[in-house]
Amino acid sequence: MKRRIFLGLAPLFVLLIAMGAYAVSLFTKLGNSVDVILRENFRSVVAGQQMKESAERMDSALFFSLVGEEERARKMYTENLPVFRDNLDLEMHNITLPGEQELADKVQHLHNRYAERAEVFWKTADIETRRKMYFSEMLPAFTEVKDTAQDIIRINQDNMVEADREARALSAKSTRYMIFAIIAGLASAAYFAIRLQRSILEPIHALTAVSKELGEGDLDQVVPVMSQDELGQLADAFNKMATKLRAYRQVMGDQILQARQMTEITFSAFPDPIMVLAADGRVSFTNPAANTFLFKLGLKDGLPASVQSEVERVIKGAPDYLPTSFDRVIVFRVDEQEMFVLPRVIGMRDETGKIFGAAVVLQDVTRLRLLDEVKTNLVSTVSHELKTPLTSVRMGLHLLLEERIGSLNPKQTELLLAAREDSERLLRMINDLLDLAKLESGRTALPSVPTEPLALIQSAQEDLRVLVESRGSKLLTKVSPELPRVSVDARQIAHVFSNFVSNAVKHAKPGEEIVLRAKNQDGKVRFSVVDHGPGILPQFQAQLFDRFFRVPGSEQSGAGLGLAIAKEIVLAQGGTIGVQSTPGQGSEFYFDLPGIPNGEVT
Amino acid sequence: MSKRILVVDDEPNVRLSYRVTLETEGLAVCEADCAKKALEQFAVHHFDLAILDMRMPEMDGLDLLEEMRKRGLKTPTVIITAYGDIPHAVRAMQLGAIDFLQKPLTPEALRSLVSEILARHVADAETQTKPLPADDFASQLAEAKRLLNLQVFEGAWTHLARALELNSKSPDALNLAGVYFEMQEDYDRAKKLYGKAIKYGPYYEPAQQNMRRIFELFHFGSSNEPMSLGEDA
Repeated sequence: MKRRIFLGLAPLFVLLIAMGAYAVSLFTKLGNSVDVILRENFRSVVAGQQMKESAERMDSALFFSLVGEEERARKMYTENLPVFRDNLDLEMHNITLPGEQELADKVQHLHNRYAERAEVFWKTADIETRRKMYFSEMLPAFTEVKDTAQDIIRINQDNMVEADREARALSAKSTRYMIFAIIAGLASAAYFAIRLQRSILEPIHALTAVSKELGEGDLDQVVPVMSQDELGQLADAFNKMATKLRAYRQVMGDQILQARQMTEITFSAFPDPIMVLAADGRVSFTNPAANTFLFKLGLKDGLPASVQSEVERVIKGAPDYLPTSFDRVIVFRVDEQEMFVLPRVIGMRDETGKIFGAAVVLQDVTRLRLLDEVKTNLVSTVSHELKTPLTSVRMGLHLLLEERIGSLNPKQTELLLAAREDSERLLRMINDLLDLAKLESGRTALPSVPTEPLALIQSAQEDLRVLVESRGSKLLTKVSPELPRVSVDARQIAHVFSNFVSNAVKHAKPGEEIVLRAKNQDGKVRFSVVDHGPGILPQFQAQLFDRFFRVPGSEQSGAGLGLAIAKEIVLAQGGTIGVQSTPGQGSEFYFDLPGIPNGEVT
Repeated sequence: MSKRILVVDDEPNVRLSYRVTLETEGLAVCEADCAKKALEQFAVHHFDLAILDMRMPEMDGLDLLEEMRKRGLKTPTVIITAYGDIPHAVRAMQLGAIDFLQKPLTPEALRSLVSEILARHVADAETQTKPLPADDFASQLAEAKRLLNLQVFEGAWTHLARALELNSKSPDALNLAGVYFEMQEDYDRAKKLYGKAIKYGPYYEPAQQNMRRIFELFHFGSSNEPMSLGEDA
């Protein structure tokens, strides 16, 4: 990877360095040549100019002498002669151009002749001779010197122009080269960048695509390993992961298969019909018992109408339908026999609670129901049979105690009173058993009537005040205002109150208050009897409503059926029963009944 | 001459206790251990009252009563039921039986019911007919009951209606009227009357039983339905 990035970027580096080197050399060359040329040629030009100028002065000096200014002319000549010589010397040492040497030599030669002739000129005293000499010899010689100096100036100037032109040409050429080089650099940079990008991104793209397919469940995907670099290692690691996933899926698949087989075998062995329905109500699974059941009923696909309606309700979001009471039993005729079925419908929900189907179990309760009937009948029969002898026992005891057939001594009376008390108790127990048997069979319910909670509490107070006050306690009422009415069989409810209060009275100390209360409890109406007695230990509270249960150590009185009957009554009225008790502080026995919403016509 | 009473029960000990209870009141008591024996006794003696146990093997109390009426015996009867049994009050009333006692009973309860029934049927000593009852609740109700015993239903209703006019809150009278209307197959009215009887006498057992029976007759299996206990008068 590093190497790849390095290889991708190296050409760019090389290109950059080459271009830089080229540009530096170009600039150096350009600057150097112009500088040298300008400097040397300029020196030659200046020397030329000086030569020209001093030559002209010398010529002027000669001319001045012709007009009689001998002194000034000589002085001027001697002043300018060294200037000329110096500049000529300078020029002689600054030869740069072809032909310049010849011109310099020519100037020297001409000047030397001019100087010789000037010596002659100065020695000549005759003005006329001088004049003739000046015009015939000196002036042409001067002109020649001047022209030659001018030539030197000219060639140097020409060279400067040429150098300038060359420099421009070179510059233009360099610019072109540079532009070309930049374009070439850019092009190759782009090329390398794209190649680099491809070489890095392509494996990553491949990895992404494979990951996606892997995510969608296609575990057989393999990423091609194209290199040994980091990407290659990643691809390799990825492939190993996919291999492990494949192995894991294999194991999981086996486990799921096993679980599925287990479930199917369990369902097949289950004696009750089980059906699983999809959210659209279509049957998606039936166990053999269900197949047989539906076949015998002549239902090919689909459920009995009564079950179907419950299924639809559950699928629409109603709570699971899990009846336990036998009055929800559906009767089918299968093989000329009545079959009692308790349908249960359980919604199948995903993690979000959305229903995606429902399971239906048709519990065959035929035998259970039969047993229940036998039990109820047995209790009822036994109780009746017990009653007949009890009738004569009780009658006999009452008659004896009336003393109309003979007087009793105190001992006899005491014994008979004890016997009568126990016969009454026995009677109560038998009656309780019968009540319970009837309540369980569900055949005792009188019509429920919408009733004001206050009326129930008041009538309970009326009924029970004498009992409570006879034990030296007080019976108070406490009813919250504006409670909804409840739909009840008032007499049954009175029985529950009576049971609660007589329990409370048993444990109350004289003077203690017992409170009949009605209040709102989470939208229901809670009726309760509150006492300040010894309370009930928490471990016994749950069992209190079980039949024949007695709190250990408590006084024996009834058969332990009172609260069980109360519970059956409250359940039959659609309520719930319970107790809250703190040992040492008292108990509150309560039952909650659903209120009838206001405004509902009943 | 003391009144004669026939006790029909298959349990000898029960018969004994009834006998002792009634004999201490100065009543003459005969016993029969089954319906067949009872009918034999009726063929021989006149009885002012019969105490019939509801549950007996072979012929039960109401079957015996039916047989008695077939034979023209108008004897007033007390039907003894067992706790938890719901007597068929309509059939009983059709046979002239409107007085029930529940086992196990006390001597006092038996004595008071027996004396009430006997008083109901006391004929005027001279004319051997019943004088017109006084226009008070108790007398009107007693007359209604007497006529019901004699299966004179229309006449009974006149007095019962009058009794209810005089006291519209008597559970006893309301319940009787309920049975009467149930017998006429006017079940709605019967239900209302039972409802009122329960309302004014929450512990009056016969009305409870009748309501339960009529309820089971029409609403079996749907006992959670609310129902009116009659409007306030």
